[in-house]
Amino acid sequence: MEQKIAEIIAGLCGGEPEEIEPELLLFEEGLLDSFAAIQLVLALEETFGLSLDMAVLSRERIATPAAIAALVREGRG
Amino acid sequence: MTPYSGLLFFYLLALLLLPAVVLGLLGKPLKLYGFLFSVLMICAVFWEGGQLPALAAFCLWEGAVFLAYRRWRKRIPLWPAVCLALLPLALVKAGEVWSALAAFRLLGVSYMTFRAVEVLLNLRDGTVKSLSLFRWSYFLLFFPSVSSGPIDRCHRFLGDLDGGITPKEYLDLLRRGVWKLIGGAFSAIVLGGLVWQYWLAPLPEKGLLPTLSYLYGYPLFLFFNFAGSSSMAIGTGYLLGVRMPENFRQPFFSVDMKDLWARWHISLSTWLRDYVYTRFALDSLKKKRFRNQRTASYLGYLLTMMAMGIWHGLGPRYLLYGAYHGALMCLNEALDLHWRPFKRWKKQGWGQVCCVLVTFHLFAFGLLIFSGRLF
Amino acid sequence: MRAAAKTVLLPAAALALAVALAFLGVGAAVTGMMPPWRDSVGDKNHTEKITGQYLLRQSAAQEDTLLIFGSSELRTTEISTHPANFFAGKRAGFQVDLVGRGSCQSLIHALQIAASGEALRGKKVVLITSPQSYVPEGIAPDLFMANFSCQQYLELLADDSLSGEIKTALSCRVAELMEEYRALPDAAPVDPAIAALAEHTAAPTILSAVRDTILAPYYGFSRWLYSVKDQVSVRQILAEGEDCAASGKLPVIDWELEARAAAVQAEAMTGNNGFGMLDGYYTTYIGSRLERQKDRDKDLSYTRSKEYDDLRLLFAVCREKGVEPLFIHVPLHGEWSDYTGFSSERREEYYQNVRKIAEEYGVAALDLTGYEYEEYFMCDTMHLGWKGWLAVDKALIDYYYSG
Repeated sequence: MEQKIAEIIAGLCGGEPEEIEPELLLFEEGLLDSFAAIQLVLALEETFGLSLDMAVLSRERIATPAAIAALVREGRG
Repeated sequence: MTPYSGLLFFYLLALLLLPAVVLGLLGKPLKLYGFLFSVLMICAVFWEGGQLPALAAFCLWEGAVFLAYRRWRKRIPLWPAVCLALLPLALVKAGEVWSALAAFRLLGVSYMTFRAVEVLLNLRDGTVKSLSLFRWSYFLLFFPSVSSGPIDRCHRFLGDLDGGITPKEYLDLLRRGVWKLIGGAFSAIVLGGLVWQYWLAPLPEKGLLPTLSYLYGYPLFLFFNFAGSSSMAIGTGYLLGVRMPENFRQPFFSVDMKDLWARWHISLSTWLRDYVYTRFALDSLKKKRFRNQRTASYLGYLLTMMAMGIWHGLGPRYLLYGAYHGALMCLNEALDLHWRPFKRWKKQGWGQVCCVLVTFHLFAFGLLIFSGRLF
Repeated sequence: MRAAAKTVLLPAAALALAVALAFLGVGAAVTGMMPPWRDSVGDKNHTEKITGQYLLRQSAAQEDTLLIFGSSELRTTEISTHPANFFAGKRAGFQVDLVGRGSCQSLIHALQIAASGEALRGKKVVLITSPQSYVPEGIAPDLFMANFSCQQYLELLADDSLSGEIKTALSCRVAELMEEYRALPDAAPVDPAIAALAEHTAAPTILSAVRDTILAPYYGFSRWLYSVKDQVSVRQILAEGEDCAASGKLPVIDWELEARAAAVQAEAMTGNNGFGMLDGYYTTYIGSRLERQKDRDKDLSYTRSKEYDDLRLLFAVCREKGVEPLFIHVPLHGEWSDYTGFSSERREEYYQNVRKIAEEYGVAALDLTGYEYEEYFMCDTMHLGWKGWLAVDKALIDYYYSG
């Protein structure tokens, strides 16, 4: 799952999946912007078959790949 | 009595903060006293301006909308509630340009209305599960940021309210808060005052050179004044045990407009980003409203920036200010997407210096529109 | 406990000390850099003399100044016999100091003199009031607030040599006028703490006493801050002023010659009307509307007015401050008043009221009310003119060298 998340993120910011460290600060490092965050949420919903609520768009919950992984795990119940 | 100006205000502020400091250092909960503080300060400030009845009416209105939505949120859609919650703001803003509504006047209505709307959005999203009327009033009327921001977030705020603070933590907050208050006062009163008195005030009304001088002086004045009062508000919040968000982060070193809005009036731009831009773009993408996904982003920026303009007022200069920034954000987005060197330039060296200078001038020109000096 | 003292009390004390030192340093620097009093400052009725304290106290400290408290009549410096012109260069051995502008009525002067501390004790002071002040309601709230000085009010309340009765009486008026002012639709903000102070001094209650105690440090600090601001604002005025040496001996003045010169100037300045009024004034206020002003004032009366009580207050303040003033009793323009229907009987009632109050307080008065019909005595409907000022000039010399 972590691998898939890294791929999604790499796809959004145009990098390599190997460079996406779990604790990388995606917004503060300038890898993601507002629109990429939306695309990320949509991609997560599609890939993992989830329905995420609006609240995930508050940035602290998708701040790092690790946080995103936790979110996905939680969403799958 | 204007908040954060005048000797009397600061005297009352210091006097009423003293019990909070004692409670905090003794490790006692600050929650109840914090509310009392807000009520007393609001009474002092709004009574003096003769605005207490208006404030009471505002609270009753927003309170009714909140209670109704909390009760029936499963059954009624969000948008009517949001519209009703925005009504007081709309009336006040309309009253500023249309004399028939001039009776609607309320200090801090822009900030308080946004707080009330945010609660509704959070209830809908489930970010805030339950909220008592007391905690709602606490958030709505929290005095430090009532008149000049920062616009705090409901979820974050309530977390601070419920989390206890040890004396050690409070001591740290106290230290930082006092420095914020002193630094903010120095920036807003001394630096802002000097720029105004010796730079802006003596400038003649018309003429190319004075306007050019104003182009540079006004952003500086606004920054000193506004960042200073934000800083004082944040410091006051700290002393009441609330870690309010920052509002400014060296805005004149921004490399592009997106960067600028992450550094200037941060709490407003992130509020609009989260509740206008993101919602609009996400919704558009889900419903496949546009053939090109990026269209949603461009339109989202325009919408967000227009909302930002209107939030300041309905006068033509504010509308133009919003449109101007909407256009700049779209341009910024287009450059990011289609002009490869832009990303590299922004990162370092002379390219970065150029970006900073261009961004500053674009922003300064925007403020010139905002100031109303152009027409 | 010791740790708490170290982490909280010490930094707090250090911070308080640093702030106090910074403020005191600024205050001392401002005071240290003040230029001395300059004679030419007396010739102009600077606003800072009304809103502040520093100029008045400096002027009063001079051995050879004669302070003149007046109102709009002080403005007519185009008239050669106006004291600022007549006594220019200390012609008669003293420098006049003009204090006042339009609508500086008795109450404003009472507050100013009450706030002067010991500066005016035993000084020669001239008081001029204008007839048009004596409308039934006395000074209007907006005109009062335009000339009211928070600094002076705080100063006079802190003065122990002033009696409680005087403080209460002044505060009653201040509180009353402030309240009326705040009810006006376009009133500027008034310091609510000063309004509260006036209300408390006028009629203390338990609640107001509590409020007063809470605000006491605020009053003390703002008094200090006002005095620093006052000094900063008059610095430039003093720096630009000039001194002049006095001749030292009593001059010989040919009053006949002066009167003739005054008449010549008056004739040249009043060409466009038959009332002997300044051309500019006549054109602006009367001119083409002459017909319409006939009998305009047939219901006007100055017989009952709050201004009389304010005048009593002014004299009472002078008595407590050890000032024996010369009071100038200014007439109305006789011919013009007849034309507008302000009858001589009603005028006389006003003259008599003022005369009685001056007598009641034992104040020396220069009664000019007999010159209503004298040509060129007034320069418009109610302000002293060429010959009027000349009569005042003569009295000033006598007053200055008396006793």
